[in-house]
Amino acid sequence: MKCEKAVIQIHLLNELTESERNEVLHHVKTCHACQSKLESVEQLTMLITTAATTPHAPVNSVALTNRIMASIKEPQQPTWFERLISIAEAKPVKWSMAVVSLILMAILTLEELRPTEVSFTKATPATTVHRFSILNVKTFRDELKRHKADYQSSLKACQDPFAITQYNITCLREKLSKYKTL
Amino acid sequence: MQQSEELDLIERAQQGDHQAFRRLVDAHHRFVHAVAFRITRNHSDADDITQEAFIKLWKHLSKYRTGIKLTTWLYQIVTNQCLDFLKSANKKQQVRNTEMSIALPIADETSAEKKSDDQELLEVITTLASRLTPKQQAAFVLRDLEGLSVDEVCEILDMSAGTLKSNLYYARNKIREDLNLYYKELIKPRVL
Repeated sequence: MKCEKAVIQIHLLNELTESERNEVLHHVKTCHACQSKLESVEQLTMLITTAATTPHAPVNSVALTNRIMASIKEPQQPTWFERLISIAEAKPVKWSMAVVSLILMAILTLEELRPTEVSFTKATPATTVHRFSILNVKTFRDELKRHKADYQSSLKACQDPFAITQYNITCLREKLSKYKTL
Repeated sequence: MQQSEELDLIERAQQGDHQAFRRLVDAHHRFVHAVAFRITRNHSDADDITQEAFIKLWKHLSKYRTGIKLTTWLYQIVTNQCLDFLKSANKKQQVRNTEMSIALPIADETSAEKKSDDQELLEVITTLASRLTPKQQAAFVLRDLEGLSVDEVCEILDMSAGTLKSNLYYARNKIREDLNLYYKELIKPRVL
């Protein structure tokens, strides 16, 4: 043991463990400087112990007690918030809240990681549609070539008066039902 | 005072029983005053701090939990009051002024005769302790003068065992050195 460490520990003999104390005392036996330091510290310890045992009392104990009692009022009842805080400060509550928080975090994390399924809702039937949406485009062209005039007049009859590319679906179904593409 | 009796008094005081609280004050005000006096070295300040400590105890008695010793709680309250006292700038000035008059109690032979040697020694030691930092002073007073355990002092001062040991080392070393100087001065032959 080095003297620097020994000097510090000599001042803390009462706070050391048994083995630490023995180590210091072993060093002191072999080191004259530390031995003299130990004697000096022991003298101080003795003086402090003597001083510490000196009884102490206030100059006027009864007057001080009366003064304290005169200055106190009714004890303050804790507010609901203080009660809540004191409950939350209790160790079992703290641990329970920590566990609940961890569970919630785990659930949220798992929920976040899970692949999302896209669901489609069935659209409400439209009253007007683009004509290509109910016809097969390829066969429509063939049909168009064969019955061009009739087909075009049928389309015109079903045309939306406010949107020229839109047609009444019921009308279209009715007029074009004779064509096999429908 | 028995532990069960003390718990009963605390419960009654929590309900607002002044007589029960008076008995608690009677039982504990001496050690509270001793700590305050050993740190402030002034009876009037120690009285004020003791009063404040018990008012604080009364106000917060509803928060008392049986797991803690009442004495430990009181030590904590009074030590914090004392540390606040030492921190205040005005009081620091007062402490500095009294540092300069360290030999005064001994120099006045009439007063020295009145006091016992032990009281005089205690006065010298607490005066030397007042030159320490507030934390060192509190650690020294609680551990060496009040004789509390390391665990209790750590709890009261809210510090680790390592920090406490460090504070105690510096405090004891400084007091030992100052005490040596003080006694050397004392045994010097006086030139009239």
